[in-house]
Amino acid sequence: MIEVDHLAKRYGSQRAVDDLSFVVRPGKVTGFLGPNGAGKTTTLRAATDLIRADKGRVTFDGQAYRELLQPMRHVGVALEPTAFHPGRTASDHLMMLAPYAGVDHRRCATVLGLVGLEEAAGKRVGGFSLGMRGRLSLAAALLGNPEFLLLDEPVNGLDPEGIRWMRQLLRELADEGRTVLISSHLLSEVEQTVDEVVIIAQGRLVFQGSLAALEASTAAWVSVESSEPEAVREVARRRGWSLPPDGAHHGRTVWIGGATSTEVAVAIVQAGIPLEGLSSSSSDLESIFLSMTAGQGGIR
Amino acid sequence: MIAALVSEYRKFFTTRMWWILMICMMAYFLVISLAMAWVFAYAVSGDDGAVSQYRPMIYGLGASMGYVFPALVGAVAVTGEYRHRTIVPTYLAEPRRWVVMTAKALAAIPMGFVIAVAGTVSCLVGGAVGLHLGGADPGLWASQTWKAAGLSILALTMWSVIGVGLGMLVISQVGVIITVLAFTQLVEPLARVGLSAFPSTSGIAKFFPGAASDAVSGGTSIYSQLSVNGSMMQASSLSVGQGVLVLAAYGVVFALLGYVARIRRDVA
Ligand SMILES: Nc1ncnc2c1ncn2[C@@H]1O[C@H](COP(=O)(O)OP(=O)(O)OP(=O)(O)O)[C@@H](O)[C@H]1O
Ligand SMILES: [Mg+2]
Repeated sequence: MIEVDHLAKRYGSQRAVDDLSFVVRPGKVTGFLGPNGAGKTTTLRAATDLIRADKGRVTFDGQAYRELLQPMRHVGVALEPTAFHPGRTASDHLMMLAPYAGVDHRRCATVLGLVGLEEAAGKRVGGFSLGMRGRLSLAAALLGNPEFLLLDEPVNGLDPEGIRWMRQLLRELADEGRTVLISSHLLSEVEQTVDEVVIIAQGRLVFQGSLAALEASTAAWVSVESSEPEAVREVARRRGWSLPPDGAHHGRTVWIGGATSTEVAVAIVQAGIPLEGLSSSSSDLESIFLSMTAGQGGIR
Repeated sequence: MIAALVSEYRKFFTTRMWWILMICMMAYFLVISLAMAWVFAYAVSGDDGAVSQYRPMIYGLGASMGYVFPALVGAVAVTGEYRHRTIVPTYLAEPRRWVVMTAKALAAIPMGFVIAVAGTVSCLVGGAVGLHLGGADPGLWASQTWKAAGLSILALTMWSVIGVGLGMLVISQVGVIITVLAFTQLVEPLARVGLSAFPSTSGIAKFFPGAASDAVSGGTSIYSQLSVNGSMMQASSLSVGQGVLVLAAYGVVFALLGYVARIRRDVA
């Protein structure tokens, strides 16, 4: 089990990760979701000691990353699909990591086969496509046969067939009892891959639970269009309805939870607020995700 | 630590930078030692005493004039890791950063040795051919030649370790190349000539890394000759042993500074 415990990291005055806590359970693929700049990569970097958290800690079965003796044998990490020397071949890259993982050239060949790069093993990484680099990152993460996997945007750059292949591979790895965490800024991208989701926005936890729970928890979201969004939010607050965390601003659209569309419409009209549009959220997960993280985009 | 050393060794030999720099170095050493030896042999024509006195200086030219190459090879081995971000998988594989950095410094010794041997062989070949062309005895089998070659290898090896330390400190690839070139090719030569012109400051100049390098490679380089023959002042230079210590101190100081600068710094 991975435990993220009150993790915080600031860059200057900006809270990239803000008192974030969640757990990732074994035997499942967990999606780590949030809009651009939500703090996903920062969380993964802090978990693996590449950056120092200001507060809190992340543990893998109770141990911090730096306490692991051969971390590659416990935690497989693929963070940046660009961290290669262009002059090295795919197998050179793995061979330079092999001593740390305590494996030899045969294991390097095996994982290259696993990610579909056996043909490219002797080619220089400089000539690799984005998808091939992603696969090589994954191969490096799998090198030490780890029980935990942390993958940052693993389907980035993959073609539809590659996405399907990745889905199957992650499923198999989770079925073997491993703990798999994959980040994405698109729920739809990983919707068919993940069992659980952890959703963050602006460095804070928005939701943690199964996909089914996510659907249930937000089935009743209503979106309201108005030229006076703050007044709409005020009405919702007075009635005790729920709003997305931090009263997110998303132009003229306000998401309201815990009420039917009729109740919302009546309340707004009674309050004399101009109502320009109103719709109940569909059960489409992507719009649920959007409603939860709406307006909390990363470019802060 | 063994894993880290093996990894560093593999990293080094799977990139092209080091052998491109090594070939440049060999060509440069070959040309300068050949040219200097030829001109020198021609100038002293027939004076066997002068030939055997100055021969070690010619065979040690690499260490006194070309130490920039092993320094760059060492430095780029480190900065390349940051430039191409392979430092990320490296620290993921070994989060105890002191292990990684110590391995880098230690691994630089055998790699530096390979480069030092290649450079010294170039000087021996170039110098011998030059002396022969100028009508002087190359004296390749003389014991002082072997001593000069051995000390040249020692000095050049230490320069690659200094380069690694410098690389850890500077991190930026361009930054480290500019620093090394500017210091070794411009600042240091000028400062050495300038400082050694005054008795009160000539004691400082001998502690410059290039001066220490000269001391190791025979203490008879261009600069010390310049000062003696120009009889501007008594040439003060370190003994071989002191030179080794001073060079080692530079390597250790740069590596320690680099260590302090990197040990806690975010890699992002
Ligand atoms: N090294 C850094 N220096 C300053 N600010 C940073 C740094 N790294 C991240 N940030 C800021 O922290 C916030 C979180 O960034 P992070 O990379 O964790 O987001 P993310 O969720 O991974 O986004 P994306 O989906 O775009 O990858 C962003 O606003 C970003 O600008
Ligand atoms: Mg990211």
